[in-house]
Amino acid sequence: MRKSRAHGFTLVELLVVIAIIGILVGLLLPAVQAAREAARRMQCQSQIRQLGIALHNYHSAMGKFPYGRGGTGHPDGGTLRPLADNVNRASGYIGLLPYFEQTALFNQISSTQTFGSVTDMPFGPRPGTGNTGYLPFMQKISVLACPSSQDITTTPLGGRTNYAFSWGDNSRRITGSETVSARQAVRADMRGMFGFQTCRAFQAILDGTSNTIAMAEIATSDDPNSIRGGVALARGVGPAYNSPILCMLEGNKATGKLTAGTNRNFRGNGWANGVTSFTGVSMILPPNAPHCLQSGNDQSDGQAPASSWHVGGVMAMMGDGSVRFISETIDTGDLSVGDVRSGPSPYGVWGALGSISGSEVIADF
Amino acid sequence: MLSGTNYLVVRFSLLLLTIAMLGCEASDGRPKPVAVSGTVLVNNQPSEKVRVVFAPQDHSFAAAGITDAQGKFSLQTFESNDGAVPGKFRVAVSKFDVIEKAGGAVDEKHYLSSKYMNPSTSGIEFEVKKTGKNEVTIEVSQP
Repeated sequence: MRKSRAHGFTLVELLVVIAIIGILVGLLLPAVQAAREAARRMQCQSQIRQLGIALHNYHSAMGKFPYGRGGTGHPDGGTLRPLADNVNRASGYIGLLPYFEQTALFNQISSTQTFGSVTDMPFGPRPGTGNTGYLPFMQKISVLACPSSQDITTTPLGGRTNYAFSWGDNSRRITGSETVSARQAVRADMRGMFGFQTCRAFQAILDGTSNTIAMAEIATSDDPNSIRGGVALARGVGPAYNSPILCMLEGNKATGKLTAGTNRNFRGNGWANGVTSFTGVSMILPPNAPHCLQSGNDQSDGQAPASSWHVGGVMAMMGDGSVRFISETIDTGDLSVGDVRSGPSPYGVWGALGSISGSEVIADF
Repeated sequence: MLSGTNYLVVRFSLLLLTIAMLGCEASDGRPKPVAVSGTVLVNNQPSEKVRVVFAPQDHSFAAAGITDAQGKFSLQTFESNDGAVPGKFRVAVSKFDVIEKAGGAVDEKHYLSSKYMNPSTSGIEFEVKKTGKNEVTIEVSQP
């Protein structure tokens, strides 16, 4: 009888082949992952570009850009529905909705609506905590969601956005308890293309639209302790005598986590929320640095850096609608200098890109 | 057994790999910080949660640190505990609690005199040297 052994493979041969395939897959897998992230990044880039076109169309129609934060009502009253107004916490996105083909949503928001047993006035209640029953603000809008970033599933306070309005290179905010004259003072100190009850026109951007950032990316996260998506509250790093560099101590770049404390996943957690910790970004700390607030109040003064899950930096859209990739290592100047109100930005190229009229000479970036 | 040529090929590829890896060292055009550590003494006692800011005088890279229970801190410029970029610094120190008031307003209760909170009035200076050990003791007197 002939033996059939000669027709099969030996165990050693099989193991060698499997090992070779293993090595090849091991080499290929990171490349495939990188290619997938590159595709996601391209989609994020095209989305922020679309928002640029929306902003320009808005400007053509209105003669100015929307505010970063504004809305209906005057100083903070109650917080829970039913509310007669959104206590000036509306974001620029609401007015912008019809310019990126969300007219139906805009019509819903701009009219009286009843959800459950509660009837809300036009432009809705205060967005966010406690009022998630107002469904138009919870709507997920695909052009605002960058696929590189995580969706917020456990504690959504609104439909997510991964694109934030630029508040420039200072950390002045509205906390809600100011007198009318104090608010005027804060408005006068706004240095970015967007701000509190501040609608800029092209002619206000004296540094030039190609030298000024309009919007930049922010990462969203389910994890409140993540540097990308998390907000560190009550860290006391306000502007008086204090330096932005102190906020850098509130996160560990190697672990990607914020220090222990009151942390919340506010970043991008609701496109309708105009509060800077939700939909605003400032050009002081470099991309992917921690976000710190002075007090436990979500609207207090603080640092609001850009962030993303792309490797090495974030996408930013300039005033002229062009999109640039900004490296994490961009020149941020002297981060020991406290809050700036006038003149050129002390925060290097990054701060110069944030201010609309600092008359800085901007190096290549 | 490796034959002579095979041995050469292996050696050569190892060398190539090493050289290729050398080229991968991160280069972002920023200067390299050197480790800086120190202690903050308030009235000769180590003090906790004191924020230390190093304001640069001959370049633009600021550094900061916060003291632990033993009053010790290490500086950070770009990443945790990476130190400071060599050069002359003026130093500001502050220690405060955040107090929240009704209506969302905030206040900070400061424990050190305001002159120490501003690097130009604190009178504390330090030069971070490129080589050698950079250790600083910051002494603050508070009535």
